[in-house]
Amino acid sequence: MIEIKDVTFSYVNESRNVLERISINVPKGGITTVLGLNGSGKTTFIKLLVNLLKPSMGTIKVNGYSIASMSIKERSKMISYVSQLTKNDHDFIVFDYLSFSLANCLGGFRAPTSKEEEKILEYANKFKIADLLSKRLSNLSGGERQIVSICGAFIQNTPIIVLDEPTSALDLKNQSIVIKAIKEWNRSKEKTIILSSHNPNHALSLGGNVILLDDSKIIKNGSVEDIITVENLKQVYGDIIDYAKNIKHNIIAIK
Amino acid sequence: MNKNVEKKYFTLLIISIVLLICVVLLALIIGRFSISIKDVVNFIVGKSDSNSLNHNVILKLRLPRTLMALFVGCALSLSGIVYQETFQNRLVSPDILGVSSGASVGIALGLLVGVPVIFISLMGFVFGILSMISTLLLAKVFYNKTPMILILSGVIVGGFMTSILSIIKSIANADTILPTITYWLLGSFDKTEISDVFIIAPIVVISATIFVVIKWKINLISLGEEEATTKGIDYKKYRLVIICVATLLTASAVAFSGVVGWVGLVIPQIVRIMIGRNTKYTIPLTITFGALFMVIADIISRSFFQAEIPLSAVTGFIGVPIFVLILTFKKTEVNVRD
Repeated sequence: MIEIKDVTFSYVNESRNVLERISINVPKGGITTVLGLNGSGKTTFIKLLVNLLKPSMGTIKVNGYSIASMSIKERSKMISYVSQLTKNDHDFIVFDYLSFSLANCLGGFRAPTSKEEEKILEYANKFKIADLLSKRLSNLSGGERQIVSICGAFIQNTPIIVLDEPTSALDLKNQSIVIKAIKEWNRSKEKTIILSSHNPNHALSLGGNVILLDDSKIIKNGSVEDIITVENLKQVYGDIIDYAKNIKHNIIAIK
Repeated sequence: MNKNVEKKYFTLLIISIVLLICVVLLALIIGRFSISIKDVVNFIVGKSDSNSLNHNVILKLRLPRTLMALFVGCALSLSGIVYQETFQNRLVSPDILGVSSGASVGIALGLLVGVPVIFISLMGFVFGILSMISTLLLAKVFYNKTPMILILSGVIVGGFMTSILSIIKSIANADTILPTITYWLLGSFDKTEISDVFIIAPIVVISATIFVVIKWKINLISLGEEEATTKGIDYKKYRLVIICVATLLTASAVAFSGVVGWVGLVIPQIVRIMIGRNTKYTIPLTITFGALFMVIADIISRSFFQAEIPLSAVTGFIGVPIFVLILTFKKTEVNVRD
Protein backbone atom coordinates (compact mmCIF):
# COMPACT_ATOMS: atom_id res chain seq x y z
CA MET A 1 0.00 0.00 0.00
CA ILE A 2 2.68 2.53 1.02
CA GLU A 3 5.90 2.14 -0.86
CA ILE A 4 8.94 4.07 0.36
CA LYS A 5 11.90 3.83 -1.94
CA ASP A 6 15.44 5.09 -1.32
CA VAL A 7 14.26 8.06 0.69
CA THR A 8 16.93 10.38 2.03
CA PHE A 9 16.15 13.57 3.91
CA SER A 10 18.30 16.41 5.15
CA TYR A 11 17.37 19.95 6.14
CA VAL A 12 18.57 22.75 3.88
CA ASN A 13 21.97 24.08 4.97
CA GLU A 14 22.67 20.94 7.00
CA SER A 15 25.07 18.32 5.76
CA ARG A 16 23.86 15.52 8.07
CA ASN A 17 21.10 13.28 6.70
CA VAL A 18 18.20 12.90 9.13
CA LEU A 19 17.12 9.82 7.20
CA GLU A 20 19.36 7.89 4.87
CA ARG A 21 18.25 5.67 1.99
CA ILE A 22 15.12 4.34 3.65
CA SER A 23 13.24 1.68 1.68
CA ILE A 24 10.23 -0.13 3.05
CA ASN A 25 6.73 -1.26 2.12
CA VAL A 26 3.94 -0.78 4.62
CA PRO A 27 1.15 -3.32 4.01
CA LYS A 28 -2.52 -2.41 3.88
CA GLY A 29 -4.54 -2.67 7.12
CA GLY A 30 -3.23 -3.03 10.61
CA ILE A 31 -0.88 -1.00 12.72
CA THR A 32 2.79 -0.21 12.15
CA THR A 33 4.83 1.32 14.97
CA VAL A 34 7.96 3.29 14.14
CA LEU A 35 10.29 2.83 17.12
CA GLY A 36 13.45 4.70 17.93
CA LEU A 37 15.21 7.07 20.29
CA ASN A 38 14.80 10.84 20.24
CA GLY A 39 16.62 12.16 17.21
CA SER A 40 16.53 8.83 15.35
CA GLY A 41 14.37 10.35 12.61
CA LYS A 42 10.90 9.16 13.68
CA THR A 43 9.14 12.49 13.35
CA THR A 44 10.88 13.19 10.05
CA PHE A 45 9.75 9.78 8.79
CA ILE A 46 6.15 10.52 9.81
CA LYS A 47 6.19 14.01 8.28
CA LEU A 48 7.55 12.64 5.00
CA LEU A 49 4.60 10.23 4.87
CA VAL A 50 2.12 13.13 4.95
CA ASN A 51 4.25 15.32 2.66
CA LEU A 52 4.80 17.98 5.35
CA LEU A 53 8.46 17.42 4.52
CA LYS A 54 9.68 16.48 1.07
CA PRO A 55 12.40 13.87 0.53
CA SER A 56 15.79 15.18 -0.67
CA MET A 57 15.96 11.98 -2.71
CA GLY A 58 13.72 8.99 -3.31
CA THR A 59 9.95 8.54 -3.66
CA ILE A 60 6.94 7.75 -1.49
CA LYS A 61 3.97 6.18 -3.22
CA VAL A 62 0.50 5.26 -1.99
CA ASN A 63 -1.36 2.70 -4.10
CA GLY A 64 1.16 3.36 -6.86
CA TYR A 65 0.72 7.16 -6.90
CA SER A 66 3.46 9.50 -5.70
CA ILE A 67 2.17 11.54 -2.74
CA ALA A 68 4.24 14.55 -3.82
CA SER A 69 2.32 14.81 -7.09
CA MET A 70 -1.12 14.58 -5.45
CA SER A 71 -3.02 17.81 -4.83
CA ILE A 72 -3.47 18.90 -1.19
CA LYS A 73 -7.12 17.84 -1.33
CA GLU A 74 -6.38 14.45 -2.91
CA ARG A 75 -3.75 13.77 -0.26
CA SER A 76 -6.11 14.78 2.54
CA LYS A 77 -8.59 12.20 1.26
CA MET A 78 -5.88 9.53 1.38
CA ILE A 79 -3.92 10.24 4.57
CA SER A 80 -4.94 11.94 7.80
CA TYR A 81 -2.43 13.15 10.35
CA VAL A 82 -2.41 13.57 14.12
CA SER A 83 0.42 15.78 15.37
CA GLN A 84 2.23 15.60 18.69
CA LEU A 85 0.38 17.08 21.62
CA THR A 86 1.67 20.61 21.98
CA LYS A 87 1.15 23.30 24.54
CA ASN A 88 -0.33 25.80 22.11
CA ASP A 89 -3.84 24.54 22.48
CA HIS A 90 -6.64 25.92 20.39
CA ASP A 91 -9.65 26.95 22.40
CA PHE A 92 -12.21 25.79 19.90
CA ILE A 93 -15.27 23.88 21.05
CA VAL A 94 -14.61 20.15 20.47
CA PHE A 95 -17.60 19.89 18.10
CA ASP A 96 -16.32 22.78 15.95
CA TYR A 97 -12.80 21.34 15.96
CA LEU A 98 -14.04 17.95 14.78
CA SER A 99 -16.07 19.62 12.03
CA PHE A 100 -12.77 20.86 10.50
CA SER A 101 -11.99 17.24 9.63
CA LEU A 102 -14.85 17.38 7.13
CA ALA A 103 -13.09 20.12 5.12
CA ASN A 104 -11.53 17.66 2.67
CA CYS A 105 -14.92 16.61 1.30
CA LEU A 106 -16.47 20.08 1.03
CA GLY A 107 -16.53 21.93 -2.26
CA GLY A 108 -15.95 25.68 -2.49
CA PHE A 109 -15.63 27.73 0.67
CA ARG A 110 -18.67 26.51 2.55
CA ALA A 111 -18.98 25.13 6.07
CA PRO A 112 -20.42 21.64 6.58
CA THR A 113 -24.22 21.41 6.67
CA SER A 114 -25.98 20.05 9.76
CA LYS A 115 -26.58 16.82 7.87
CA GLU A 116 -22.86 16.46 7.19
CA GLU A 117 -22.18 17.28 10.83
CA GLU A 118 -24.19 14.22 11.91
CA LYS A 119 -21.07 12.23 11.18
CA ILE A 120 -19.37 14.02 14.08
CA LEU A 121 -22.03 12.80 16.52
CA GLU A 122 -21.79 9.30 15.11
CA TYR A 123 -18.03 9.11 15.62
CA ALA A 124 -18.14 10.90 18.98
CA ASN A 125 -20.50 8.18 20.22
CA LYS A 126 -18.28 5.48 18.78
CA PHE A 127 -15.22 6.98 20.47
CA LYS A 128 -17.17 7.61 23.69
CA ILE A 129 -16.43 11.34 23.70
CA ALA A 130 -19.99 12.61 23.16
CA ASP A 131 -19.90 14.30 26.56
CA LEU A 132 -16.84 16.33 25.50
CA LEU A 133 -18.43 17.82 22.39
CA SER A 134 -19.52 21.09 24.00
CA LYS A 135 -16.29 21.59 25.98
CA ARG A 136 -13.37 23.76 24.96
CA LEU A 137 -10.30 21.91 23.68
CA SER A 138 -8.13 23.87 26.11
CA ASN A 139 -10.13 22.50 29.05
CA LEU A 140 -9.52 18.83 28.16
CA SER A 141 -6.88 16.59 29.70
CA GLY A 142 -3.96 15.55 27.50
CA GLY A 143 -5.44 12.09 26.98
CA GLU A 144 -8.89 13.43 26.05
CA ARG A 145 -7.26 15.94 23.73
CA GLN A 146 -5.40 13.19 21.85
CA ILE A 147 -8.51 10.99 21.63
CA VAL A 148 -10.37 13.96 20.10
CA SER A 149 -7.55 14.44 17.54
CA ILE A 150 -7.60 10.74 16.64
CA CYS A 151 -11.40 10.83 16.38
CA GLY A 152 -10.92 13.75 13.95
CA ALA A 153 -8.58 11.61 11.86
CA PHE A 154 -11.28 8.92 11.62
CA ILE A 155 -13.92 11.53 10.68
CA GLN A 156 -11.60 12.67 7.89
CA ASN A 157 -12.33 9.22 6.50
CA THR A 158 -8.99 8.33 4.96
CA PRO A 159 -7.67 4.80 4.41
CA ILE A 160 -4.37 5.76 6.10
CA ILE A 161 -3.91 7.46 9.47
CA VAL A 162 -0.47 8.71 10.52
CA LEU A 163 0.20 9.68 14.13
CA ASP A 164 3.32 11.45 15.37
CA GLU A 165 4.08 10.25 18.90
CA PRO A 166 0.46 10.24 20.04
CA THR A 167 1.51 9.40 23.60
CA SER A 168 4.27 11.94 24.08
CA ALA A 169 3.57 14.45 26.85
CA LEU A 170 1.00 12.07 28.39
CA ASP A 171 1.22 10.41 31.80
CA LEU A 172 1.21 6.61 32.07
CA LYS A 173 -2.54 6.31 32.54
CA ASN A 174 -3.34 8.50 29.55
CA GLN A 175 -0.71 6.70 27.43
CA SER A 176 -2.52 3.46 28.14
CA ILE A 177 -5.93 4.99 27.33
CA VAL A 178 -4.69 6.28 23.95
CA ILE A 179 -2.88 3.05 23.01
CA LYS A 180 -5.88 0.90 23.96
CA ALA A 181 -8.17 3.19 22.00
CA ILE A 182 -6.07 3.02 18.82
CA LYS A 183 -6.03 -0.77 19.06
CA GLU A 184 -9.73 -1.02 19.79
CA TRP A 185 -10.86 1.27 16.96
CA ASN A 186 -8.85 -0.58 14.40
CA ARG A 187 -9.89 -4.06 15.40
CA SER A 188 -11.44 -4.58 11.97
CA LYS A 189 -8.14 -3.48 10.37
CA GLU A 190 -10.02 -1.30 7.92
CA LYS A 191 -7.46 1.49 8.34
CA THR A 192 -3.73 1.44 7.85
CA ILE A 193 -2.32 3.11 10.95
CA ILE A 194 1.29 4.23 11.26
CA LEU A 195 2.49 5.80 14.48
CA SER A 196 5.80 6.72 16.01
CA SER A 197 6.84 6.05 19.59
CA HIS A 198 10.00 5.77 21.65
CA ASN A 199 8.47 3.15 23.95
CA PRO A 200 8.75 -0.52 22.80
CA ASN A 201 5.88 -1.39 25.17
CA HIS A 202 3.51 0.53 22.93
CA ALA A 203 4.51 -1.65 19.98
CA LEU A 204 4.03 -4.77 22.09
CA SER A 205 0.63 -3.60 23.21
CA LEU A 206 -0.50 -2.61 19.70
CA GLY A 207 0.78 -5.69 17.88
CA GLY A 208 1.13 -5.53 14.10
CA ASN A 209 4.42 -4.44 12.59
CA VAL A 210 7.43 -2.54 13.84
CA ILE A 211 10.01 -0.42 12.08
CA LEU A 212 13.11 0.00 14.21
CA LEU A 213 14.92 3.25 13.45
CA ASP A 214 18.39 4.06 14.68
CA ASP A 215 20.84 6.72 13.60
CA SER A 216 18.91 7.73 10.47
CA LYS A 217 18.47 4.17 9.19
CA ILE A 218 15.94 1.36 9.44
CA ILE A 219 17.82 -1.36 11.26
CA LYS A 220 14.99 -3.90 11.45
CA ASN A 221 11.39 -4.23 10.36
CA GLY A 222 8.80 -6.96 10.57
CA SER A 223 6.16 -8.29 12.95
CA VAL A 224 6.26 -7.30 16.63
CA GLU A 225 7.09 -10.85 17.64
CA ASP A 226 10.12 -10.97 15.36
CA ILE A 227 11.45 -7.49 16.01
CA ILE A 228 10.95 -6.84 19.70
CA THR A 229 13.72 -9.03 20.97
CA VAL A 230 16.40 -8.35 23.56
CA GLU A 231 19.15 -8.33 20.92
CA ASN A 232 17.36 -5.93 18.59
CA LEU A 233 16.33 -3.55 21.35
CA LYS A 234 19.81 -3.50 22.85
CA GLN A 235 21.10 -2.34 19.48
CA VAL A 236 18.93 0.75 19.78
CA TYR A 237 18.45 1.38 23.46
CA GLY A 238 21.75 -0.01 24.76
CA ASP A 239 22.22 -2.03 27.89
CA ILE A 240 19.51 -0.31 29.92
CA ILE A 241 16.79 -2.54 28.50
CA ASP A 242 15.64 -5.64 30.34
CA TYR A 243 13.09 -7.99 28.89
CA ALA A 244 10.87 -9.28 31.67
CA LYS A 245 9.56 -12.48 30.17
CA ASN A 246 8.25 -13.85 33.40
CA ILE A 247 5.45 -11.32 33.55
CA LYS A 248 2.17 -12.43 32.03
CA HIS A 249 2.22 -9.70 29.41
CA ASN A 250 5.57 -8.98 27.91
CA ILE A 251 6.93 -5.74 29.26
CA ILE A 252 10.16 -4.01 28.45
CA ALA A 253 11.62 -2.62 31.64
CA ILE A 254 14.40 -0.19 32.38
CA LYS A 255 17.18 -1.78 34.38
CA MET B 1 -25.57 20.97 19.09
CA ASN B 2 -24.75 24.20 17.32
CA LYS B 3 -28.35 25.43 17.39
CA ASN B 4 -27.89 27.56 20.51
CA VAL B 5 -24.76 29.24 19.18
CA GLU B 6 -26.46 29.86 15.87
CA LYS B 7 -29.45 31.44 17.59
CA LYS B 8 -27.18 33.64 19.69
CA TYR B 9 -25.23 34.61 16.58
CA PHE B 10 -28.29 35.76 14.65
CA THR B 11 -29.61 37.62 17.69
CA LEU B 12 -26.30 39.47 18.13
CA LEU B 13 -26.08 40.19 14.41
CA ILE B 14 -29.57 41.69 14.30
CA ILE B 15 -29.03 43.68 17.51
CA SER B 16 -25.75 45.10 16.21
CA ILE B 17 -27.25 46.05 12.85
CA VAL B 18 -30.22 47.79 14.51
CA LEU B 19 -27.87 49.57 16.93
CA LEU B 20 -25.64 50.59 14.02
CA ILE B 21 -28.57 52.15 12.17
CA CYS B 22 -29.64 54.01 15.34
CA VAL B 23 -26.11 55.24 16.02
CA VAL B 24 -25.65 56.42 12.42
CA LEU B 25 -28.90 58.41 12.68
CA LEU B 26 -27.75 59.76 16.03
CA ALA B 27 -24.43 60.76 14.45
CA LEU B 28 -26.33 62.88 11.91
CA ILE B 29 -28.29 64.61 14.70
CA ILE B 30 -25.57 65.13 17.32
CA GLY B 31 -23.00 67.86 16.94
CA ARG B 32 -22.19 71.40 17.88
CA PHE B 33 -24.70 72.63 15.31
CA SER B 34 -28.05 71.24 16.42
CA ILE B 35 -30.17 69.41 13.89
CA SER B 36 -33.56 67.94 14.76
CA ILE B 37 -34.69 64.36 14.17
CA LYS B 38 -37.30 65.75 11.80
CA ASP B 39 -34.61 67.39 9.65
CA VAL B 40 -32.68 64.12 9.46
CA VAL B 41 -35.81 62.17 8.51
CA ASN B 42 -36.61 64.76 5.84
CA PHE B 43 -33.05 64.49 4.55
CA ILE B 44 -33.26 60.69 4.33
CA VAL B 45 -36.58 60.67 2.50
CA GLY B 46 -35.30 63.39 0.19
CA LYS B 47 -37.72 66.08 1.32
CA SER B 48 -35.25 68.54 2.81
CA ASP B 49 -34.47 71.83 1.14
CA SER B 50 -31.15 71.40 -0.64
CA ASN B 51 -30.23 75.03 0.00
CA SER B 52 -30.88 74.93 3.72
CA LEU B 53 -28.02 74.97 6.21
CA ASN B 54 -29.28 71.79 7.88
CA HIS B 55 -29.27 69.92 4.60
CA ASN B 56 -25.71 71.00 3.83
CA VAL B 57 -24.38 70.24 7.31
CA ILE B 58 -25.74 66.70 7.02
CA LEU B 59 -24.68 66.14 3.40
CA LYS B 60 -21.25 67.78 3.43
CA LEU B 61 -20.08 67.32 7.00
CA ARG B 62 -21.85 64.68 9.07
CA LEU B 63 -22.82 62.05 6.50
CA PRO B 64 -19.35 61.70 4.92
CA ARG B 65 -17.52 61.44 8.25
CA THR B 66 -20.09 59.07 9.72
CA LEU B 67 -19.92 56.77 6.71
CA MET B 68 -16.13 57.01 6.76
CA ALA B 69 -16.13 56.06 10.46
CA LEU B 70 -18.35 53.12 9.65
CA PHE B 71 -16.07 51.81 6.89
CA VAL B 72 -12.83 52.47 8.80
CA GLY B 73 -14.30 50.65 11.84
CA CYS B 74 -15.15 47.66 9.64
CA ALA B 75 -11.73 47.72 7.98
CA LEU B 76 -9.63 47.90 11.14
CA SER B 77 -11.55 45.39 13.23
CA LEU B 78 -11.82 42.95 10.33
CA SER B 79 -8.12 43.11 9.51
CA GLY B 80 -7.44 42.79 13.26
CA ILE B 81 -9.35 39.54 13.61
CA VAL B 82 -8.01 37.88 10.46
CA TYR B 83 -4.42 38.81 11.37
CA GLN B 84 -4.97 37.41 14.87
CA GLU B 85 -6.34 34.13 13.52
CA THR B 86 -3.68 33.79 10.83
CA PHE B 87 -0.75 34.58 13.13
CA GLN B 88 -2.29 32.54 15.96
CA ASN B 89 -1.82 35.40 18.35
CA ARG B 90 -4.61 37.33 20.03
CA LEU B 91 -2.48 40.38 20.68
CA VAL B 92 -1.73 41.11 17.05
CA SER B 93 -3.19 44.36 15.70
CA PRO B 94 -3.71 45.57 12.11
CA ASP B 95 -0.43 47.50 12.01
CA ILE B 96 1.55 44.32 12.69
CA LEU B 97 3.16 44.11 9.25
CA GLY B 98 4.39 47.69 9.32
CA VAL B 99 1.42 48.83 7.24
CA SER B 100 0.36 51.73 9.47
CA SER B 101 3.89 53.11 9.81
CA GLY B 102 4.37 52.84 6.05
CA ALA B 103 1.10 54.61 5.34
CA SER B 104 2.06 57.33 7.85
CA VAL B 105 5.31 57.92 5.95
CA GLY B 106 3.35 58.22 2.69
CA ILE B 107 0.96 60.76 4.20
CA ALA B 108 3.74 62.78 5.85
CA LEU B 109 5.74 62.79 2.62
CA GLY B 110 2.67 63.90 0.68
CA LEU B 111 2.08 66.80 3.07
CA LEU B 112 5.79 67.73 3.04
CA VAL B 113 6.02 67.84 -0.75
CA GLY B 114 2.65 69.57 -0.94
CA VAL B 115 0.78 67.23 -3.26
CA PRO B 116 -2.97 67.89 -3.70
CA VAL B 117 -5.10 66.58 -0.80
CA ILE B 118 -6.71 63.85 -2.87
CA PHE B 119 -3.31 62.29 -3.56
CA ILE B 120 -2.22 62.33 0.07
CA SER B 121 -4.48 59.40 0.95
CA LEU B 122 -3.32 57.63 -2.17
CA MET B 123 0.31 58.06 -1.11
CA GLY B 124 -0.53 56.69 2.33
CA PHE B 125 -2.15 53.71 0.70
CA VAL B 126 0.76 53.03 -1.68
CA PHE B 127 3.37 53.31 1.09
CA GLY B 128 1.29 51.03 3.33
CA ILE B 129 1.24 48.34 0.64
CA LEU B 130 4.99 48.84 -0.06
CA SER B 131 5.74 48.30 3.64
CA MET B 132 3.76 45.07 3.63
CA ILE B 133 5.67 43.84 0.57
CA SER B 134 8.97 44.74 2.28
CA THR B 135 7.87 42.78 5.34
CA LEU B 136 7.01 39.71 3.24
CA LEU B 137 10.33 39.91 1.38
CA LEU B 138 12.29 40.38 4.60
CA ALA B 139 10.60 37.33 6.14
CA LYS B 140 11.74 35.30 3.12
CA VAL B 141 15.35 36.36 3.68
CA PHE B 142 15.28 34.92 7.21
CA TYR B 143 14.39 31.48 5.88
CA ASN B 144 12.17 30.59 8.78
CA LYS B 145 8.63 29.42 8.27
CA THR B 146 7.04 30.25 11.62
CA PRO B 147 4.36 32.97 11.71
CA MET B 148 6.50 34.71 14.34
CA ILE B 149 9.13 35.61 11.74
CA LEU B 150 6.56 37.64 9.79
CA ILE B 151 5.64 39.54 12.94
CA LEU B 152 9.33 40.16 13.64
CA SER B 153 9.86 41.38 10.06
CA GLY B 154 6.84 43.68 10.54
CA VAL B 155 8.43 45.15 13.66
CA ILE B 156 11.68 45.77 11.75
CA VAL B 157 9.97 47.42 8.76
CA GLY B 158 7.68 49.38 11.11
CA GLY B 159 10.70 50.61 13.07
CA PHE B 160 12.47 51.68 9.90
CA MET B 161 9.37 53.54 8.69
CA THR B 162 9.08 55.32 12.05
CA SER B 163 12.66 56.52 11.61
CA ILE B 164 11.84 57.91 8.17
CA LEU B 165 8.77 59.59 9.64
CA SER B 166 10.96 61.26 12.29
CA ILE B 167 13.28 62.58 9.58
CA ILE B 168 10.34 63.96 7.57
CA LYS B 169 8.96 65.63 10.71
CA SER B 170 12.34 67.13 11.57
CA ILE B 171 12.73 68.77 8.16
CA ALA B 172 9.07 69.87 7.91
CA ASN B 173 8.27 73.54 8.53
CA ALA B 174 7.54 73.69 12.26
CA ASP B 175 4.84 76.37 11.89
CA THR B 176 2.84 75.11 8.95
CA ILE B 177 3.51 71.54 7.81
CA LEU B 178 4.55 69.84 11.06
CA PRO B 179 1.27 70.54 12.90
CA THR B 180 -0.67 69.31 9.85
CA ILE B 181 1.31 66.05 9.73
CA THR B 182 0.93 65.52 13.47
CA TYR B 183 -2.78 66.24 13.47
CA TRP B 184 -3.45 64.06 10.42
CA LEU B 185 -1.60 61.11 11.92
CA LEU B 186 -3.44 61.40 15.25
CA GLY B 187 -6.52 60.27 13.41
CA SER B 188 -9.59 62.25 12.47
CA PHE B 189 -12.51 62.23 10.07
CA ASP B 190 -12.93 65.99 9.95
CA LYS B 191 -11.43 66.37 6.48
CA THR B 192 -13.52 63.58 5.02
CA GLU B 193 -15.42 64.37 1.87
CA ILE B 194 -18.08 62.27 0.23
CA SER B 195 -15.65 61.50 -2.64
CA ASP B 196 -13.34 59.77 -0.10
CA VAL B 197 -16.25 57.60 0.99
CA PHE B 198 -16.79 56.55 -2.62
CA ILE B 199 -13.16 55.37 -2.75
CA ILE B 200 -13.04 53.46 0.54
CA ALA B 201 -16.54 51.96 0.33
CA PRO B 202 -15.88 49.53 -2.55
CA ILE B 203 -12.54 48.47 -1.01
CA VAL B 204 -14.16 47.64 2.33
CA VAL B 205 -17.27 46.06 0.80
CA ILE B 206 -15.29 43.79 -1.54
CA SER B 207 -12.73 42.84 1.14
CA ALA B 208 -15.45 42.15 3.71
CA THR B 209 -17.30 40.01 1.16
CA ILE B 210 -14.15 37.95 0.56
CA PHE B 211 -13.72 37.34 4.30
CA VAL B 212 -17.40 36.51 4.78
CA VAL B 213 -17.19 33.98 1.93
CA ILE B 214 -14.12 32.22 3.40
CA LYS B 215 -15.12 32.79 7.05
CA TRP B 216 -15.33 29.10 7.95
CA LYS B 217 -12.03 28.23 6.29
CA ILE B 218 -10.23 30.89 8.34
CA ASN B 219 -10.78 28.50 11.29
CA LEU B 220 -8.57 25.95 9.58
CA ILE B 221 -5.89 28.54 8.80
CA SER B 222 -5.80 29.41 12.51
CA LEU B 223 -4.80 25.79 13.26
CA GLY B 224 -1.43 26.42 11.58
CA GLU B 225 0.18 25.10 8.42
CA GLU B 226 0.53 21.41 9.39
CA GLU B 227 -3.03 20.82 10.49
CA ALA B 228 -4.61 22.97 7.80
CA THR B 229 -2.65 21.28 4.99
CA THR B 230 -3.29 17.74 6.19
CA LYS B 231 -7.00 18.56 6.52
CA GLY B 232 -7.06 19.50 2.84
CA ILE B 233 -6.63 23.29 2.87
CA ASP B 234 -4.13 25.12 0.66
CA TYR B 235 -2.67 27.01 3.63
CA LYS B 236 -0.13 29.12 1.76
CA LYS B 237 -2.64 30.35 -0.80
CA TYR B 238 -5.23 31.23 1.83
CA ARG B 239 -2.67 32.95 4.04
CA LEU B 240 -1.42 35.08 1.16
CA VAL B 241 -4.96 36.12 0.21
CA ILE B 242 -5.83 36.90 3.85
CA ILE B 243 -2.68 38.97 4.42
CA CYS B 244 -3.07 40.91 1.15
CA VAL B 245 -6.76 41.72 1.67
CA ALA B 246 -6.22 42.64 5.34
CA THR B 247 -3.32 44.88 4.35
CA LEU B 248 -5.49 46.57 1.74
CA LEU B 249 -8.07 47.26 4.47
CA THR B 250 -5.50 48.60 6.94
CA ALA B 251 -3.74 50.76 4.37
CA SER B 252 -7.00 52.33 3.18
CA ALA B 253 -8.15 52.97 6.75
CA VAL B 254 -4.89 54.69 7.69
CA ALA B 255 -4.83 56.61 4.42
CA PHE B 256 -8.22 58.19 5.11
CA SER B 257 -8.32 58.49 8.88
CA GLY B 258 -4.74 58.45 10.18
CA VAL B 259 -3.47 55.92 12.69
CA VAL B 260 -6.37 54.81 14.86
CA GLY B 261 -5.34 52.31 17.51
CA TRP B 262 -7.18 49.75 19.64
CA VAL B 263 -10.13 49.02 17.35
CA GLY B 264 -8.48 46.05 15.64
CA LEU B 265 -7.33 44.68 18.96
CA VAL B 266 -10.38 45.17 21.17
CA ILE B 267 -13.34 44.44 18.89
CA PRO B 268 -12.25 40.87 17.98
CA GLN B 269 -11.75 40.14 21.70
CA ILE B 270 -15.21 41.41 22.61
CA VAL B 271 -16.79 39.43 19.79
CA ARG B 272 -15.00 36.23 20.86
CA ILE B 273 -16.23 36.65 24.42
CA MET B 274 -19.78 36.99 23.13
CA ILE B 275 -19.87 34.13 20.61
CA GLY B 276 -16.75 31.98 20.99
CA ARG B 277 -13.91 31.22 18.67
CA ASN B 278 -15.54 29.93 15.47
CA THR B 279 -14.76 32.40 12.66
CA LYS B 280 -18.00 31.41 10.94
CA TYR B 281 -19.66 33.65 13.57
CA THR B 282 -16.88 36.03 14.62
CA ILE B 283 -16.10 37.46 11.17
CA PRO B 284 -19.59 38.90 10.43
CA LEU B 285 -20.01 40.15 14.02
CA THR B 286 -16.60 41.84 13.94
CA ILE B 287 -17.77 43.81 10.89
CA THR B 288 -20.93 45.13 12.55
CA PHE B 289 -19.42 45.75 15.99
CA GLY B 290 -16.30 47.36 14.52
CA ALA B 291 -18.46 49.81 12.56
CA LEU B 292 -20.62 50.48 15.62
CA PHE B 293 -17.59 51.18 17.84
CA MET B 294 -16.03 53.60 15.38
CA VAL B 295 -19.20 55.61 14.70
CA ILE B 296 -19.65 56.02 18.48
CA ALA B 297 -15.96 57.00 18.83
CA ASP B 298 -16.42 59.65 16.12
CA ILE B 299 -19.51 61.08 17.82
CA ILE B 300 -17.53 61.36 21.07
CA SER B 301 -14.50 62.87 19.35
CA ARG B 302 -16.48 65.79 17.92
CA SER B 303 -19.23 66.40 20.47
CA PHE B 304 -17.81 66.79 23.93
CA PHE B 305 -15.32 69.62 23.65
CA GLN B 306 -15.01 72.80 21.69
CA ALA B 307 -12.10 71.34 19.73
CA GLU B 308 -12.14 67.83 18.28
CA ILE B 309 -10.43 65.13 20.30
CA PRO B 310 -8.09 63.00 18.15
CA LEU B 311 -9.67 59.63 17.30
CA SER B 312 -6.78 57.66 18.73
CA ALA B 313 -7.32 59.33 22.08
CA VAL B 314 -11.02 58.40 22.06
CA THR B 315 -10.46 54.79 20.97
CA GLY B 316 -7.67 54.54 23.53
CA PHE B 317 -9.88 55.89 26.33
CA ILE B 318 -12.58 53.36 25.47
CA GLY B 319 -10.28 50.53 24.35
CA VAL B 320 -7.76 50.46 27.19
CA PRO B 321 -10.27 49.91 30.03
CA ILE B 322 -12.11 47.27 27.98
CA PHE B 323 -8.84 45.50 27.26
CA VAL B 324 -7.77 45.59 30.90
CA LEU B 325 -11.17 44.17 31.91
CA ILE B 326 -10.85 41.37 29.37
CA LEU B 327 -7.35 40.48 30.57
CA THR B 328 -8.45 40.54 34.19
CA PHE B 329 -11.66 38.57 34.02
CA LYS B 330 -11.19 36.33 31.03
CA LYS B 331 -7.68 35.02 31.40
CA THR B 332 -8.42 31.93 29.35
CA GLU B 333 -9.77 34.00 26.49
CA VAL B 334 -6.50 35.75 25.79
CA ASN B 335 -4.14 33.03 24.84
CA VAL B 336 -0.76 34.45 23.95
CA ARG B 337 1.16 32.05 21.80
CA ASP B 338 4.61 31.75 20.27
